[in-house]
Amino acid sequence: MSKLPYERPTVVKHTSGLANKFGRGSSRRTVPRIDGVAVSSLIEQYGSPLFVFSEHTLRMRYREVHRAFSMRYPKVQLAWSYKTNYLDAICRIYHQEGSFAEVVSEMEYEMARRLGVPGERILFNGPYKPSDALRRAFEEGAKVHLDHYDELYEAERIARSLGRKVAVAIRVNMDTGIYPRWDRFGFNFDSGEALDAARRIAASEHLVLTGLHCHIGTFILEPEAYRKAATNLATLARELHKDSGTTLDYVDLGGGFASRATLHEQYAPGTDSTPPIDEYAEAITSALLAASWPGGKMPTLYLETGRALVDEAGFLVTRVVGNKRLPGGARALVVDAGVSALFTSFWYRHDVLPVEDRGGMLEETVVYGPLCMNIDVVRPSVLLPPLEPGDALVVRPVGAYNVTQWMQFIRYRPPVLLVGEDGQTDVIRRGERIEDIKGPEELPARLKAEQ
Amino acid sequence: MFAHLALSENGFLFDQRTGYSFSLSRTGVFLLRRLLDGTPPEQLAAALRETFEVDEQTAERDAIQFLSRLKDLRLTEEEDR
Repeated sequence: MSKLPYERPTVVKHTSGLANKFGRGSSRRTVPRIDGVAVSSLIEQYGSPLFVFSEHTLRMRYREVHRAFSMRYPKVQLAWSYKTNYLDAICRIYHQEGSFAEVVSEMEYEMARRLGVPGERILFNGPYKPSDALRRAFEEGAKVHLDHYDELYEAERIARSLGRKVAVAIRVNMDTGIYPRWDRFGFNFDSGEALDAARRIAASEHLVLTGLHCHIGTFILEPEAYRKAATNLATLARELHKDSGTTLDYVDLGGGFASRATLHEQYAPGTDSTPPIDEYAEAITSALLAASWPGGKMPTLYLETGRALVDEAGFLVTRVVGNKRLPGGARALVVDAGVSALFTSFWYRHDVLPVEDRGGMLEETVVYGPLCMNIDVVRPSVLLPPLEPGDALVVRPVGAYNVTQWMQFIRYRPPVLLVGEDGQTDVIRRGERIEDIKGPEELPARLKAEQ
Repeated sequence: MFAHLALSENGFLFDQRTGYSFSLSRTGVFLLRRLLDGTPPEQLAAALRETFEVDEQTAERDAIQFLSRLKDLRLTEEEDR
């Protein structure tokens, strides 16, 4: 007599928690392919863990966001937020689609220039721009967004030494009704500080104010906050014109639009609660269109959204290395990728889905990474079928911030792969090696002896 | 030892002492049924291998973990004292 197929024996206690009326449920979902390419074949060829980006999703999402704004407002320009993901291949795709670069340090500025982005297509943000970097940005015609008075004075000194007027914009912070209020960057609108700074620039012999910038926060789930921000910038522009006759070339509403990731503290999954990009576009553009602009000159609208463009294009493929039962009876898995690669695990309840489901009961499972650190938790609890060592899982969405904020800690960082629109696969960042880690180190001569 | 447990063939388990209910996988039902019928715990791995496509090491590991899980869930009589 032939034997029956095996599945792991499980017993799961029924709990009567709060019913969740949202979401599609995570039961029995699998991710066997990414853009038509079998995940199992990716692991075979490139190993595990492995970051995978979908070129199709990158391009489609960019066009969707650009369309949402440009169909509502005549002059729209996106600027790719380098800090969200500054892999060359990812940045190049956005630049090919027409995006400027938005950088927040001299390192990111250098990355954009290295990729061939001309200075005039770079927005330079951030609270610290070293003097040399500021000078270079002015020389190359970048759009510099001033953060504080000392930077304003430094910009003025540099402009004077260059012997010409340079264009600047100011970053403005404000109360838009969201929490936390990002009031540490730029000049405050509500107190009148932003208008004072703008007047100071208008009075300068060396600076010309050409734009206003704000970035009200991150992962903002309330599009109406952007309506308030856009309205406030228009008010500021009007007051400034009345004062000094200044007319602006652009307003920059920043980014902060939510992706469809789910924050740990969020009740409903991001797939249900994240507003569509059209709602952000409608809030911003309708406020700009309703405002009266000095001389009837509508400014160009710049946007710096990062996460909403790239997050869903990124996947992390990982494999099970072991099963555990914790002392309280909870089921746990150890996988080969942890928080050092997947920094956003601290913020998000990522989807963790098996590549293949061979049946068996779903059970709440803690997913641990491979680091010898207690904090290395990929998901504190997720429903998963029985899995064996070697079985693959896909974590998503992970395209934003991970490949910039990942840490070189205990293990090598994994390779990053791009799946092209016709299914070809290219490594866009190879896995780390010992020389990447130890290369910059020096062993003093007196320590060369091994004994 | 398990007189307080009512197990249905499709994997629904009711603990009469506590009122708690549980779901078991097919192999879970198989193992608990054996225990209810008086099979000694140390013979569970062999029983699994006789009936299912499973290697010795996996059967042994899973049988041990299943017994430990029953204990964790306070389904065995000893845990009630």
